[in-house]
Amino acid sequence: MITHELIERIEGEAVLDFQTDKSGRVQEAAIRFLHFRGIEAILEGRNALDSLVIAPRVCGICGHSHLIAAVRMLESLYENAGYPVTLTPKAHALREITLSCELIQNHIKWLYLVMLHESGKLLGEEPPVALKALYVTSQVNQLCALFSGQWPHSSYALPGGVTCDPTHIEVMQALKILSEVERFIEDEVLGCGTELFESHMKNDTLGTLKGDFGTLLRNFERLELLDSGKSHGRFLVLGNERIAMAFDVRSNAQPDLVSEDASQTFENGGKTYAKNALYNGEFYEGGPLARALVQERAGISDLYRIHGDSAVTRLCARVEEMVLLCAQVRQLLTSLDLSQRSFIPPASIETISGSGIGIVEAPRGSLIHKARIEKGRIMEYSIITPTQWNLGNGPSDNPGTAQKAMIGVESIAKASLIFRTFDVCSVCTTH
Amino acid sequence: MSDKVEAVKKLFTSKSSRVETNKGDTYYQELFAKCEARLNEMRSNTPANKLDFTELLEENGIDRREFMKWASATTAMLMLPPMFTPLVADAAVMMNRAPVIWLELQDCAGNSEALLRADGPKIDEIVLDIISLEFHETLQAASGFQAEKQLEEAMEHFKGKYLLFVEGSIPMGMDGQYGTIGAAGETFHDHLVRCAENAAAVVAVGACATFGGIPAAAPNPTGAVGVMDVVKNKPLINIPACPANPANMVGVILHYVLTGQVPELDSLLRPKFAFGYRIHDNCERRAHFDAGEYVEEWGDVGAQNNFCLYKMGCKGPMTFNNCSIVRYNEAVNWPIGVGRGCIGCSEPDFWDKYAYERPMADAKIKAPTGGVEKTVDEFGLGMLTAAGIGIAIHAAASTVAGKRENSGENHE
Ligand code: SF4
Ligand code: SF4
Repeated sequence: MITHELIERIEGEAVLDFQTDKSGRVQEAAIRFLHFRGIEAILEGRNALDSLVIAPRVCGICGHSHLIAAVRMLESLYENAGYPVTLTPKAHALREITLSCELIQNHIKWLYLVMLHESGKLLGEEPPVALKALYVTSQVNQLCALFSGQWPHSSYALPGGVTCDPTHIEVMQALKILSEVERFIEDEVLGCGTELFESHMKNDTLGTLKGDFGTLLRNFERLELLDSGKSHGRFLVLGNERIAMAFDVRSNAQPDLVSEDASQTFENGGKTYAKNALYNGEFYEGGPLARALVQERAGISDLYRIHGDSAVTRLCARVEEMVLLCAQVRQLLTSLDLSQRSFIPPASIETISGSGIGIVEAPRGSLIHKARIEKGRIMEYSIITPTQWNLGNGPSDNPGTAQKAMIGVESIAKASLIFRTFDVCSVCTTH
Repeated sequence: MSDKVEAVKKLFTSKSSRVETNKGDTYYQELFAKCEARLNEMRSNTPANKLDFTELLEENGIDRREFMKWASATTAMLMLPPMFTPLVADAAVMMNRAPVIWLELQDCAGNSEALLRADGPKIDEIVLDIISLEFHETLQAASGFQAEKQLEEAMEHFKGKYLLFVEGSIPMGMDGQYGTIGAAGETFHDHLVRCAENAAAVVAVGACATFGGIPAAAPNPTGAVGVMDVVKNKPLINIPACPANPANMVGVILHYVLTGQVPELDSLLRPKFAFGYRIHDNCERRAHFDAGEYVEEWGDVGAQNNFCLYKMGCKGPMTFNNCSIVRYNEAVNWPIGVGRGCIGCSEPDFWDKYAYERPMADAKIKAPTGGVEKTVDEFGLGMLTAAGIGIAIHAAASTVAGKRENSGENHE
């Protein structure tokens, strides 16, 4: 039997087409995205620096990641053209801080507004009012805005650094907000200190967690989904470390092995606007789980050894990443040297021609901006978004990452929940 | 061409481009009586959701004094005299009696995100939470077919009463096939027209929904247009900007609860309480502008000293919006605060007209002579490029701007 299911929440709309057997078990699942804006075409012909303002508008959910990808693309372009751009450690740290803020608030939002909500609904329980989560995410965005001006859609980074010049006051404010966020994560999300959380992962005793994350895991347990959702077991991180991991064998990832496959799109008689992103011709999973595994982070690696890339590991990876990022932001804030310059002007963009690539680890995985520029004008612009990796739509004999994870799940409703463990997002996918 | 110039001149010199903060005692007394009656009527309506504002305030540890402080600030923001404060407070409590249906079309979800993040002090957040969002694809409990059903039911149940918020532009190219919704594949265009039919008023939120936004930038690959090009014969409010400031979204709903009317609009259908002044009028760097102190290059001494960003392409002098007052993210900051300048995102033809990296001088836009004190009436003329003129004319022709400017506040 074929059933069409609409998936729509904070991240826009996707359509899932399920093929089920008599008992309702999922045999096949196709993923379709039905929106398109043509942002790459809009960028072409414009001043290369315009990408810093237009690119964030690809997505109101991870626009900051797009900003950083665009600025890194421009800096790599300078580099390739023989005019390397120097960033002070301060400028670099500020970008890392604001980028991390986007990830942290995204993960909190995913946990409360999507996962707790949807899993509760499936159990027939009234979804909780997520006011407290909204409050804390708005705090994180404030922290980001202290340096980036606003969130969403900030544009404070430029090749050569950042335009803000924060003082100790902003840093103090940021630290104060950060403490509140850390307290929220310990008291509300985990229900325990971060060290205890680590040991729960290590000992596989997560079920005893008291906080909201514990509730989520118990919801999954009640739905008998903790060990569902296994995919290919291939992971990719293209951001700072470039590592691919297939069947537990790690190798250095090469950006030139990345390709886009348009065979499923309307253009070619398919049913979606989204292109698949492939590494070495295959589907790889990106995002928090991939990052934790390629960095060999203890708790998640332990869970992975026991449960593989199933729902429980994937859920934990996103939560563990929020904890980790808070610690990193704290470290960056406390070691900022405000006397350094925020910006060192590079050569004028009008003198620059060549190609550049900028890669960022966005909330949902690796985001790539590539462009060819002639004398400061954009000739070609190409964006590969994280969701294109995870929600790629393959044929039945070669399913994409999320597709594979849904196969064999007992019902369509449960498969849709597994789908959401990937933190789906259609907004940027069909840029 | 000269016709066009005349038309633009008319558009920008019309009465509606000026903000009148004092309309005289009689006017306000009448309005006060009207609001009181309206609120009494609202009080007898059953709330659309069960959330209790007063309880939520208590739960969040907000006392009456703090709440009244918020109410008086909000009253000022809506450009009403202080005597309206108690009414604004009452209206906030009754926000769940104004049903809102929210559509997402060709968008980046930025406005929903901004709304979710609920800038402004905690009270705004609670106000937002209590707003009766009868249908918002991304925020509601239901999804999929259940959601479609819920939309039908909400439209039926609140027929003629709901505010329809629209985020995102409408792709007209390829018969609307660049954006479809639901299992039946209804195009965004048809979906919007259908949902607008029984709305009390339509509110276009964000640069995309108002004037087409980034998707409509050249070469406009999908033929994107704004809501006002599609929805006719309905009171329409534009809240542009990218993203639109949540404070202004709340302001519009609050105003509606309070008065039952659409707020006073400018000729581009933007509420004057929010779009009555230019960024530049209230900019924190304004003193440097007046003193002729400019950032000449990113990261220079001027940048380190927060000088004016005009020469770096700041579009504050020709952009109408209240971000310099309201700011973003609980008022902690705004783009000019981090030295990046205004990009004019609340003006029509954003992005093509104002492209950020084009300082005004290169854009063949006349630099303000004799100070920038001039109103947009004079200033706007010099600044419009040919493309801008096209859009402005289009806007004037395709909306009920002319009518609205005379009739002011008497729309249901
Ligand atoms: S107005 Fe801006 S925030 Fe909104 S949908 Fe358009 S690009 Fe995104
Ligand atoms: S030009 Fe821009 S930075 Fe300068 S005073 Fe005006 S709005 Fe502020």
